Amino acid sequence: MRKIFTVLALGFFAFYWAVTFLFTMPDNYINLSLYKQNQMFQLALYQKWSFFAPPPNFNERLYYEFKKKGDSSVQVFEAIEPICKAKQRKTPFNSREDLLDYVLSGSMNNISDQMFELQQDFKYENGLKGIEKIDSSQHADIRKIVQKSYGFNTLKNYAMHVARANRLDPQQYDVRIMLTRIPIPKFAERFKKAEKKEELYFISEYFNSQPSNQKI
Amino acid sequence: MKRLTTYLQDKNHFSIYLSLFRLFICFHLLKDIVNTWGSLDLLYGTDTFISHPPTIISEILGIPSDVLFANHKIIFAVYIGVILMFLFGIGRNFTALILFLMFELIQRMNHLVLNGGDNLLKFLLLYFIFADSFKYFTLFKRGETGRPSPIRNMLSNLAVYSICFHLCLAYLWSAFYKIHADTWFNGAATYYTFQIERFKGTSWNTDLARNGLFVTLSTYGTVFFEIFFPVLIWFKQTKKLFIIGGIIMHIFIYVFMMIYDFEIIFMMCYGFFFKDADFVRWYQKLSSRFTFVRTLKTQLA
Repeated sequence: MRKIFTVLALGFFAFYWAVTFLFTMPDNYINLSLYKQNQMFQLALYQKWSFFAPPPNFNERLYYEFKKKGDSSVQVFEAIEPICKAKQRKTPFNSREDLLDYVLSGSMNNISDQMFELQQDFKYENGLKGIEKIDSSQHADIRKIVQKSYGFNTLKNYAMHVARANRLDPQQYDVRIMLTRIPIPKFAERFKKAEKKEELYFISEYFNSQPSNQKI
Repeated sequence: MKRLTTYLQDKNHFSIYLSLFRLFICFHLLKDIVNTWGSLDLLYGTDTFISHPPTIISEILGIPSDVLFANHKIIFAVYIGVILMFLFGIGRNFTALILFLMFELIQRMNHLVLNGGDNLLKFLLLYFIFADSFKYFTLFKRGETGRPSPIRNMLSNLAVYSICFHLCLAYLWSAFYKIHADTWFNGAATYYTFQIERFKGTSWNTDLARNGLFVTLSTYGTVFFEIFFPVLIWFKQTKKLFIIGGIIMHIFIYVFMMIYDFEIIFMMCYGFFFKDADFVRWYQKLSSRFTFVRTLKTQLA
C-alpha cells in the first residue's frame, strides 16, 4: 500500500511540475496546441512571472473633463500624479495611496490591454479584406466595447470622488475620461531637456455624473 | 529511485524552517489585513467605486459574487479566525487547506491590488497544505507515538521542494521575458523602471537612472542573477553567494521601487534551501561563540 502511494505521489509531483513548466513558459507550438487545457490551468493556477519585461517606457495620466450642463464651461482634473506623489511622500506608510494607485492604474492597464487586443482583431479582419488601417467606425466600436468593461466602470465611478474633491456638484456636470501617456525620454537622450509630449490614447463619451454614497 | 524514496520518507528535512515560515505567513497576512482595514469598504464594499467582475469560485458554488461583497466583513472575520488557527497549529493541514481557499477567494474579490508576491504566496499556501509545519510553535502538541509517518515526511519534503522549484521557475521565466525585451538585452531597463512615477521610491531615482554605469550593471546584474539562480542555488559553493545577491536585489527594489510584500516573500523563501541540519549547525556555532565570550569574561574578571 505504501509503495503504491509513493509511486502515485511521485508520479503526480512529476506531472504537476511538467504541466506547470509547460503552461508558464512563453507561447510556443506545444502549449498553444494545448490551448484549452492551458486555459483551464490558468483559471485554477494563474501565474505570470514577466516582471517589468519590457518595462513601461511612459508614465500615465488619467484626466476627468467636467462640462457644465448649462453653459458648457469645462474643467479638467488629473487623478494619477497626485496619488503617485503622495505615495512617495508617505513611503513606506502609504497603504491607502498604494491601493488607490493599483486600482486606478490596474483599470487603465485593463483598458489599454483590451484596446490593443481589439485593434489586433480588427487589423486581422481588415487584413483578410486587403484593408490596411482601422477605420473610424471600428475605432468607435472599440470605444463602445471598452466603455462596457469593468476597468472603465471603475474609472467612471471614481469621477464622483474627483468631483467632490474639487467641490463640483456632480448633478450639474457631464464627465468624460481621457487617458494619456507621457513617454520617458530614451536612454541615449536622458540629459536632453526635451519637452514631454503627451499622447492621448483613449477618450470616452460624455456620461452623466450621478451622486452616490460611494466610499473613497 | 530507492535512494530518493528513502531520503524523502526517512525524515522531515525542513521541519524548523517550515514552522518558522508558518509563523511568517500568518503574521504577514495579519499585517496585510491591518494595513487594509481602513480601506476594506473601499475595496470590497457594495458602495465602492470599484467595479468587480465575478469571482467565478463563488459562482461555481452557486453563490453570486454580490453576496460575498455584501458580507465582506463576515468573510474577513472568518479569514482572521482561520489565520489565527493556522498560527497556533490548530486543525493542522485541514486549516492550511481552508486558509488557501479563503486566500484564493479574497484575491479573486479584488485582483486589481495584487502583485507577483501575492501570486507566489498563493502557491506557497497551496504547498503548505501538504507540509508538516507543526513540529514547532504550536499551541497543542500532537501526541506522537513511535516513528513519524514516512508518507507524511515524503509529502512534506515534496512540498518544500515545490516551493524551491516555484521560486526557481519564477526567476527563470522572468529572465526569459527580460532577455526577449530590447531594454533588458541592451542593458538599459533599470533607467526606465527607476523613472516610472508609480514606483519612484526616492528622490534619488532620477539621478541613479541617469548614471550609465549604474543602469548597465544593475540591468545585467538582475538578468544574470535570474538566469543562473535556478541552477546555482542548488550547489553548496554558490548557494550563499546567490542568496546574498538576491537579498541585495530585493532590498534595492523595496527601497527604490516601493514594492514591499513581493520582496519580503521572495527573500523569505530562500530559507527553504537550507535543511534542519544547517539550522542546527548554525545554532550550535552561535551558542559556542557566546559560550566563548562568557568564558573569556570570566577569565578576565
